[in-house]
Amino acid sequence: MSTMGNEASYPAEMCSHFDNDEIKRLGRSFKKLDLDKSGSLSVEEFMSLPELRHNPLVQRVIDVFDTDGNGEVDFKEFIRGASQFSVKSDEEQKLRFAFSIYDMDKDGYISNGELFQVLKMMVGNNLKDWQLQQLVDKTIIILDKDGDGKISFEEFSAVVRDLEIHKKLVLLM
Amino acid sequence: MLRAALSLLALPLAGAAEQPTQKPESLGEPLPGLELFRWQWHEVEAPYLVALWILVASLAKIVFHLSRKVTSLVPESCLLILLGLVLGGIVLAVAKKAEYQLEPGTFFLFLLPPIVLDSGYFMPSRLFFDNLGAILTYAVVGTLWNAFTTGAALWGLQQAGLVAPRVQAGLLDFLLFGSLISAVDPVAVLAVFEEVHVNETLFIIVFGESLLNDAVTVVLYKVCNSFVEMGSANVQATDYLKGVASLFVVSLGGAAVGLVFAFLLALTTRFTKRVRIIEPLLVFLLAYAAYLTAEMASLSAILAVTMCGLGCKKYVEANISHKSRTTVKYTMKTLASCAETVIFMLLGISAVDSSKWAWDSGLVLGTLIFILFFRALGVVLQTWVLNQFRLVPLDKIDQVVMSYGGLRGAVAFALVILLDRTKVPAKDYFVATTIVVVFFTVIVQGLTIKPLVKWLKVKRSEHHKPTLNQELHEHTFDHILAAVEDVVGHHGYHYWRDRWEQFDKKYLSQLLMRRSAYRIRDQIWDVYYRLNIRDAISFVDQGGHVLSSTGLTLPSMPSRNSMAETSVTNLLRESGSGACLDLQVIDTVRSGRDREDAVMHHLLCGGLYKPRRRYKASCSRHFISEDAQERQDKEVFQQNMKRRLESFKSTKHNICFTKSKPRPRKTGRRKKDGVANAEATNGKPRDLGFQDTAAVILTVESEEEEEDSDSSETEKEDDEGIIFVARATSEVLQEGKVSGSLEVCPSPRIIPPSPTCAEKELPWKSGQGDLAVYVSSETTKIVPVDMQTGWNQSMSSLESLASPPCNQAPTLTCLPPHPRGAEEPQAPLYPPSDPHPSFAFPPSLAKAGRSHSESSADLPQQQELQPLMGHKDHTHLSPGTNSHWCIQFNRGSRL
Repeated sequence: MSTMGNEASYPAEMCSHFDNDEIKRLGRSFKKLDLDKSGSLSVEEFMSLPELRHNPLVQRVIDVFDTDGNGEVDFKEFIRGASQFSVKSDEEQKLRFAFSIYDMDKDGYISNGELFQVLKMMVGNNLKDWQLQQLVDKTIIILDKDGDGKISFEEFSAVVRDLEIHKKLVLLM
Repeated sequence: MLRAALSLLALPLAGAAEQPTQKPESLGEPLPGLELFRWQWHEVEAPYLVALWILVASLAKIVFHLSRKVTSLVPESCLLILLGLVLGGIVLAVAKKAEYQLEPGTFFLFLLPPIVLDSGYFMPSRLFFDNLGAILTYAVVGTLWNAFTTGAALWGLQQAGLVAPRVQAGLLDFLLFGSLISAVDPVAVLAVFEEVHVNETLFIIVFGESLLNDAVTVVLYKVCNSFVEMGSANVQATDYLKGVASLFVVSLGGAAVGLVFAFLLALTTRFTKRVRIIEPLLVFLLAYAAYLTAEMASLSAILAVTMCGLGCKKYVEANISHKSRTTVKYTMKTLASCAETVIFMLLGISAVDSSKWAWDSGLVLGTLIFILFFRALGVVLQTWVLNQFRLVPLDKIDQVVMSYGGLRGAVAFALVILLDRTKVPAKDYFVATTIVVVFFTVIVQGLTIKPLVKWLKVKRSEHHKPTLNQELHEHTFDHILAAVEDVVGHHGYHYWRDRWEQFDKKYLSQLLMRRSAYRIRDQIWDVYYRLNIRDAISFVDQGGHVLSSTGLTLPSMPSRNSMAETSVTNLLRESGSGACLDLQVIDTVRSGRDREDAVMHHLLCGGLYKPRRRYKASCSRHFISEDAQERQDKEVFQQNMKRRLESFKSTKHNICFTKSKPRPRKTGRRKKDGVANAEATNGKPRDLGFQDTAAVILTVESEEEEEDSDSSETEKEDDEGIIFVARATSEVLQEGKVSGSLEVCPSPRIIPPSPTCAEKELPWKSGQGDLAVYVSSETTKIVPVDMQTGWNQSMSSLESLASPPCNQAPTLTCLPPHPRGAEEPQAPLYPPSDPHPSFAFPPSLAKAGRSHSESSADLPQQQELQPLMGHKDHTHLSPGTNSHWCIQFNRGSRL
């Protein structure tokens, strides 16, 4: 279902790359998640899915989905978020999404602390904090070309683009 | 020729009769008396010839590779075929008859299995399974398509009168021929593609196809053959149905046989703990048994061995010892390479035998054109269909390479030789055509595919190891994908993989892996450990060289010590400088950086939570045990819940709440670095990289302690190894302490490193920065011109350290309560161990170490210097205790 793919096309309207069928299907999943029928998904509702509860990055993903920052994901945000994983969304969008996973305070830079936190979510107690810190430092060093100690989107995408990882950020809905 | 020559020599060369009892010679009358010298050529003939052929082939290989230019242009397989032609010509000219041909029996029973086993065992499983759909399509549909179209087209050609009427063949004969000529040959593909280095996806598709199409080829060949033998008139509708059914029987049966043997193999290796020596043998024996069993049941033997290799690898690799793993790897590669060489050479030789074949230009040309054309057409059509489903479409260039890479080889040749001339009257023509096709594909296409790939700018495979970043981001992306998948509520493809993983973890792994292997959470330690050894070895050479080139010897140092120390020192320096934040340093010390990457990579492999969708891939190398899985789930869950609670308490803006948490820790690190720094800069600046490193301590539980403490010495010596301690433990303690005490410091960057208690109290912090405190830094120092004085200096300096006041204990006690449990076990990880006797420090150093630890009497024993290298002295441990391996690595972390 999710393999690689990279087809560039710019969003016509609202970044939605879905046709009606897909929107309908997404709508169904949205309704299924929307337990209190409020029209928006709270974190609790997300967490009602057992798989999601066990995903270390779920909070980050929800935060990134939640573009207006009100703590809930409404249907528009839901579609927009999911559309970034469509085959039709372009590389830039996927990189943006990946970048914003790391960029917790949304200032356009990944700081040392942010990277640390995100990685901490992914390793839990598997690594000691100081090990993790070394890792973070190391990563920042490699990515940080202008030496400001933090990673801009350009620096991030330069490396990630090379690795063609963005091709993997594709889901067939 | 050889045989003739040798049999001449086999004449009795007996001298004067001395003793009577002798077996009568085959030649000549029985001679009474003992022969002084006797040839027994006929007794050794067969194995001798086999050995000779292999030797010739190997020597030829060596000769080819003498010239880099030739091998870079011409694939080895071409050269071998040409050599075979030449040798065959010589044999033919001398013996007047063709000898030493590629016998189908030999080929299928002895030459093919090693190659297939090698490719199955070392198949990149994730890549293979990710592309399984495409591979299966090309293998099944593609082969069927090729066989039928080629056969039918040839028949059409004959009907059109373009094939000479002396070729007596009907539609069925042509279909039979089509079925054997259509299959892409794994040996040829492997030989050519391994030198071309196209990207992995392309390679795995072509190669996977060539392996998996065996079942189709075998079935088609058998069905057609039996139809031909029955005569087309007698073939009934049920026979066609049987033919279709046999496709499933042969392929699934072959795969099942392979999996059964894989299971047996894994199970057997679980119990080889005390007889490590036969582990590699078991792998080969059972895989070969799988092949023979499948062959016996006329199932697809290639499929059986491929599945056996694919299936058993994970468990076998976990069960067998490190040395066995290496042995398996090299033996497999050697056998496969050897078999491949012999196959190509014999192919060349066989082609010389003109008695076997009859030429028909129409048939030959027609076949050549048809197989190329239909292959290309088939690939294009199938790719078009596949691209509807693939998210990464195979582009035109890929399709060209796939079409062009459809090489035919020895399988086709062996199959055509197997035909029965009485049933297939056109056999000789088919043989000739097959030889031409094989030669054309291997030589012409093999020669041109490299330039073609270059010209088309096909994406080549990149051989760099995954970088730290890649590793990180891939993990992140996998988690993201999993999360989004769940959010949008879409489950499919990965669901089954997930289920399989669960099953594997719950039952298979537990059944097939020995408990110790199963328990070790991930093999990261193993890798890490091997990395250490490799580095040490390479640095031993390097270090020795450095020492000798400067003409210095360390008088008081046993050579082995000096070497080892130098090595570890270099290791430290290198990895340390790689960690230094100075970008220039990183760039200049590439090797250090690369190694650093590798280490980090393995650290990540072990540390990162396994995303759902990655289980499959990661299990082959880094399997996580079931409880690890549960633990991970639990941890993540708890974290998520905690985060929820936190965000409840805080407003939306307070996202920084969680963020502020790790800060103090970082501060701690900073501060600690500050300490190290201050320490370093007190004297003349030393190797910054080294100084700024933090110790990474890994404790590896030895596999051997499993259930019996009496595990044999030999095994211990066999499989266990070397302790590298890159740094005296004092620093580690210091680190723990500092990171705790630094909670006070708000921000590392703003506030300059203030002297810690340690800094204030440790006497050598002031003034003696230049002199060594630890073993490692001792040798890190630039070797003074006068080694002796330098040595004495450091000796005296070390001795002057013998009187530091009880310095670190107080700081330890004044620690604020440690916020994180995570860091606490650090010190206890250190096993109380003594330097191994065989690895004594130079007296002065040992003394320094001792005095150091004596001076800080309050410090635990861990303070003592660790052996740089040497066996763990298990006599110091009570039986039954885990043997710990302490691997300490210097990591950089300073900003």
